[in-house]
Amino acid sequence: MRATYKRTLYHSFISVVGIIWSLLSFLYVFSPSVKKVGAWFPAVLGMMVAFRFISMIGVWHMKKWGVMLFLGSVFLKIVCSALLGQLSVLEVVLSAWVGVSLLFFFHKMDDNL
Amino acid sequence: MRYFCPEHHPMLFFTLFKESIWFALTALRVNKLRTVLSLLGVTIGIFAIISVFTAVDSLEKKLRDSVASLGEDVVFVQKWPWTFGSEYPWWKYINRPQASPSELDFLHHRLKSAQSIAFEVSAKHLIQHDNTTIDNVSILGVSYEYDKVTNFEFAEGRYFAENEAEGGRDVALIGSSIAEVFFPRMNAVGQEMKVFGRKVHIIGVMKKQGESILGNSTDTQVILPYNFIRGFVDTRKENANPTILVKAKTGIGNDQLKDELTGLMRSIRKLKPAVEENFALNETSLISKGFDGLFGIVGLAGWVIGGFSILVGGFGIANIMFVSVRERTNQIGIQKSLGARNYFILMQFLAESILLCVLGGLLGLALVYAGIQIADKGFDIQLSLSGANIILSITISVLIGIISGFIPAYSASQLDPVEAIRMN
Repeated sequence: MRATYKRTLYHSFISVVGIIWSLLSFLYVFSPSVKKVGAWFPAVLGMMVAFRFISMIGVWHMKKWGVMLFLGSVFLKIVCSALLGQLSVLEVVLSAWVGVSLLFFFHKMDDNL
Repeated sequence: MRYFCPEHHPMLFFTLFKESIWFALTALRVNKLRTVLSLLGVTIGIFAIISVFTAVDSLEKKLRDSVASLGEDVVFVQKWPWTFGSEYPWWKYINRPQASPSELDFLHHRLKSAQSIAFEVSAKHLIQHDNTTIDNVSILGVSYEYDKVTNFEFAEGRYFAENEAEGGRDVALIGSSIAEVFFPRMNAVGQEMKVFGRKVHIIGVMKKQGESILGNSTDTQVILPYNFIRGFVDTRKENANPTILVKAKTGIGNDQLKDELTGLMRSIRKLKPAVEENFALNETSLISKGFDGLFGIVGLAGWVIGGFSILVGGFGIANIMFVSVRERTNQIGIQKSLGARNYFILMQFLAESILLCVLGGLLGLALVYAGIQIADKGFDIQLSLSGANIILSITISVLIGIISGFIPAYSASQLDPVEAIRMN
């Protein structure tokens, strides 16, 4: 017998927007402006985009690991942006709002992979 | 059941990882045609992006090397400014006076922030040695301090002595390509050739520079003393392009030099305070800035085309992975019923997806390399594939593999073993 965790409309919306945003961000990863920062930067930025994409899949399936991975990728992105002096207040506020709102439903999510 | 518990056998994780790679390789090998067709999308995307980036990086490097040879700390006093764009207001500049040697003398005595100042005019004429003629050669007439203002080195011989430059003696410096044509089997220094119908003695051969994207390579130039060339060339004319070259002292920036130059030139030309300047102070950074826009557009175009091509390729990979999951549903069910964890199933299909994309990326890189060889051997265009671009292509391949393969791999890992075994 498997437990099912019903996905709310809010989670559906966040997941879809997050997946689309990740796909568009993926295009940005190998743009000339990102390449100019350094040879390593596209790889780092790309991994963060990949983590965010995977986390949104997890949120869609109402998995706890999805929320944790999302919070981890947000933290990494903020640290990278701060180190490069490109920290955006809007990005921090949006990410924090999404992260906190997902945490409200954390106890209703599935523990398993 | 303990066999599949990595918490009891940590090394088991690496064994499972190795098995995932093996499963992936087997799956790709079994369906060779499907593998090739699937990775074509990624191959074309990587080829498009990396070939554009390679071309732009190589051209940019060549341009920066050419610009550096002009001297980054040199200001050029000329009639026409170096500006780029569709709107060039030539009517504002056409009546300006040319730079002159008298202005050079004035600046020599009054300019405090300059290390060296020189004068240069140019012409195109044929040169001759015995029965060999080279037409349309770039001939420069320069003042004594020209070698202190520009960056060139000698393969043989020496620069003008002060009395040779000031006295307008019939001596010349030639580029390496001219030396190879006129004197293929002997030292050119000490030999003679004819310029403007007059015999000149060759006292130096400049070191080979290679082709310059700005067309200012010394390999095909002849340099004569200004006081010699002015007997044959009207140095006040437009096509002589008379220029005063000013090199800043160490520690003094071009802005400070330009400020002082502006004040002195305005006083030489007796310009009232409200009147606009009738001279241009050019520097090499203007050339770099002018080309930045062009390279930016080309790079952007390559990125957009290649990026969407990769994205489409990624959708193709995702589609094939769903087919692969469907084909092996039965196998997944058996594995899970024997105790395989969800993450093992996930790793299998993710590894297959990443491997497929990396293969596609490597093939794309191979195509770029082949293109570089064709450009070099067939069209004599030197391009080079940098380490940064290789890292970028592998990064893109791995990322597109993860992103396009994750959903099918995750759906496979969530299959119920009983239902999976039942499926045909």
